[in-house]
Amino acid sequence: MCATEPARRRRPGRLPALPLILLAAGLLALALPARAAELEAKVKAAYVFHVIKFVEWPTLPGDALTLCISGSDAVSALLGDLAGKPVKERPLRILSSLPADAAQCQVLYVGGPERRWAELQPRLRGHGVLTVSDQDGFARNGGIVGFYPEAGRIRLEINPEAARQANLRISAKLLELARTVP
Amino acid sequence: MKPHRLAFFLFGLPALSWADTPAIENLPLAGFVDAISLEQLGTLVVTDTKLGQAPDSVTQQILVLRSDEIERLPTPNRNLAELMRHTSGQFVNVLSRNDANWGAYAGLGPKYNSYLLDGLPIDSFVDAISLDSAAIERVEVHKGPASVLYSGYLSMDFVGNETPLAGTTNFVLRNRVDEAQTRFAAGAGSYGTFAGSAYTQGRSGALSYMLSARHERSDYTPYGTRGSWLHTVQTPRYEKDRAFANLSYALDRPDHTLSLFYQRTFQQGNMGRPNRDFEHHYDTFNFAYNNPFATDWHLQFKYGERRYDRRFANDAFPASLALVNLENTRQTIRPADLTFSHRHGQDALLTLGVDAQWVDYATDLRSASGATSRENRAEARSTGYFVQEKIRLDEWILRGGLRRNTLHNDYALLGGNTPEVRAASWSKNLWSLGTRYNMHPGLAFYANAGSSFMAPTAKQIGGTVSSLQASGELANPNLKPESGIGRDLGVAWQASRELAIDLRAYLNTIGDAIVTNIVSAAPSQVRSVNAGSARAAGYEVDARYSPASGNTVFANVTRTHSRVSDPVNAAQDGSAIPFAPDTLANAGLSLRLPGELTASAYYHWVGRYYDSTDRGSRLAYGHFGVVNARLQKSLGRQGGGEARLTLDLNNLTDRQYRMPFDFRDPGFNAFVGLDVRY
Repeated sequence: MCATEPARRRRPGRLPALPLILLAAGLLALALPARAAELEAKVKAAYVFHVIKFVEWPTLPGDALTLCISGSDAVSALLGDLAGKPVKERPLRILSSLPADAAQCQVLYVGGPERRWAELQPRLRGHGVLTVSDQDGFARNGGIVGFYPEAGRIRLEINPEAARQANLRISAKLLELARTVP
Repeated sequence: MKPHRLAFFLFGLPALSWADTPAIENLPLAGFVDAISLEQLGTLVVTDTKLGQAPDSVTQQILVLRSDEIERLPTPNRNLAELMRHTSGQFVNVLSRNDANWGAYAGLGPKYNSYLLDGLPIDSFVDAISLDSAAIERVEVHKGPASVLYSGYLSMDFVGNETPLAGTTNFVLRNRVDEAQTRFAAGAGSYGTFAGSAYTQGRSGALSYMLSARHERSDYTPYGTRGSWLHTVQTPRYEKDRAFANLSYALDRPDHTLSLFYQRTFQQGNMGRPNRDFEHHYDTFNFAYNNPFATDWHLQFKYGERRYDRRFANDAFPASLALVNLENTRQTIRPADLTFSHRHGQDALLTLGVDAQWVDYATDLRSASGATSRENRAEARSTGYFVQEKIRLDEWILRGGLRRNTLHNDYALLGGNTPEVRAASWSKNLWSLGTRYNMHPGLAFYANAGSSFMAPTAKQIGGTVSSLQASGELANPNLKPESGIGRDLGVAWQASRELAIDLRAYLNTIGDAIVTNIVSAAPSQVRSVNAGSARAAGYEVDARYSPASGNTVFANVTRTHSRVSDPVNAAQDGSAIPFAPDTLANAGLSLRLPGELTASAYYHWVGRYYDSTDRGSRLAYGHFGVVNARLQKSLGRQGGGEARLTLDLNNLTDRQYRMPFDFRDPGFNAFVGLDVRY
């Protein structure tokens, strides 16, 4: 026993490795959900941008394609970064609120609580507006494009009937990627 | 959606982050949307139904290698098949930089694993030598019996037809460009290898274009066993030039497209002896028309051409090095496919259509004195009608399909003689069934079964002997195709946010197996008969661990037990199926290191395998491990441009292992390359 004592004795000034590793792992574990949430929002915002390329409107204004944002969440906070990006051969214009005339918007991203969507729906009728939201069950509740998680990935959910009512044509390429909902 | 529910989504993009440092996900949103396509976000696969589908709706296990991962994988022999070398169950056995892959999959020989180029069949032996990986958007390795949607490949060269019983691998072409990019690369390596390439992609209105040219030359190294027919008396050398154009035009909508792909490859060199020259031309053409013509209907028409013109010089080695003759093989295969897809109900998909192939095959010999003789002239054609229905019932996916295949061969000349049998035809009905149960988002079970068939080769049917006293193969007009049934079942489990585990078991059986028996020793005559059966059973275990974004560790192991039954010939009764190793194992890691350095290392183990079923004459191979490594370092970025240095260290332990047909791996080799893209 005596022979092993010196080896066990902790040398002054040297930090133990194991607690440090545990501390680092703990910090990493705390950081991961935040990082995941940030990346999740970025992926959804990227989906919004790419989805626009695969939707056909009956007519589009010549100067810009307008994406309006109603309500705020992690995704809507990012979408402003896409202002000016070319899409469908015109720059993307971002409006941070829904104007009185909803027809000015070709795309509407709905952030915030679900009741907001219920309030917005009547204002969109008759206009060719592509609606997208991160709200749970958005496409089942009359929206056109929603998201859902599956096996660690973000997937698209599309309501073809809602698109038809908005007089929008969803590309088959997009439908290949999405789950359709009634 | 709560962050913790999707925490492991962070690890859903590891393949993207491997390629580019800093990781794509760290880019600002405006750059992120340029760097990632809709297909990458959506993780779709197309091989199952010919339309993009989420992997969770596919009953078979499909492994996807994306373009950025393709860039990262070592290919020491510059062969596309090597991309799959580290995936479970794949025995990739590329004989040299100038030769075919004589591999196997799921316990069956190389004829039972087919390849597709964007959904049209290609030659799994030859085309992987010539096709340029820069044209490939992703590779879908479709495990288990492929659906009835794909026919076999009617090649009359090498070992004949190829069929998708054990699996099929689809090399999916890039078909849309979001951002312009130009790349120049140059490098040098062992054996005096020099390579250079230029690639550009861009978009002009509705037209997406990709153009590429690549050159490589090498003072190669002896790659045969000493004293064999591959023995060298001088340094072998080769040159390979490849160019392709890939155009895609959106007619009026993004999904209504015309696509054209054309690649020409020219390869020449010698095998290390003065009269062992070779000169090969490969032309590969794919045309595709896509049109979702109604809300629920989608039409696809595809047509392709695969032309080979291969010339070899044969000498009199070992007696002398004098020229004996020049051998010329020409083959043109034209596959076509018309497919309609109909979405109906709740996520149900009906697929139906027709496909066809036309083949012209000719070989000639030119003697040293210049006299030319015709050796083989054959034609083949096939027609297939197929229908498949896939439905989703809550968490269940059910798939079933049928195919009617008719095949006709005409033999005008075999082995320089008019064959005894001039034509042969077969019709077969094939079926395929599959199911998948998604128990929860991280756990799924699946099972599949399907039938397939393999037509006899021209020489087996028509024979090559010109008279009763001549040596060669005797005709057997009554020879039937081999019939096969493939079955698999497995589980795909996302055990945690870091760990994914897949387990798959398979059982493949071949009935009416064609075996070649000796009829006479003098003259040396053989005849092929339907005398036996073959069976391969095994399992694959895959594990992939991603402890942090950009870092990945993987391992897989495949164990197979195969057996040939031939009551007529005791020498091969009970022996193993040739070219199918009993064990394959892989392990690897990819790490993002400080200093914008990415390091990848792969270990590949091959168990015992044989080159023949005859226990008296077969040779044993395998029982070796190979380590390959790749280091990539970003040298700098400016604007949208980047310069990157790549170092490949292949076969680090210098294992000069033997392969069938007297080939030998040359051992350690290295290559360093500089890549500039903007």
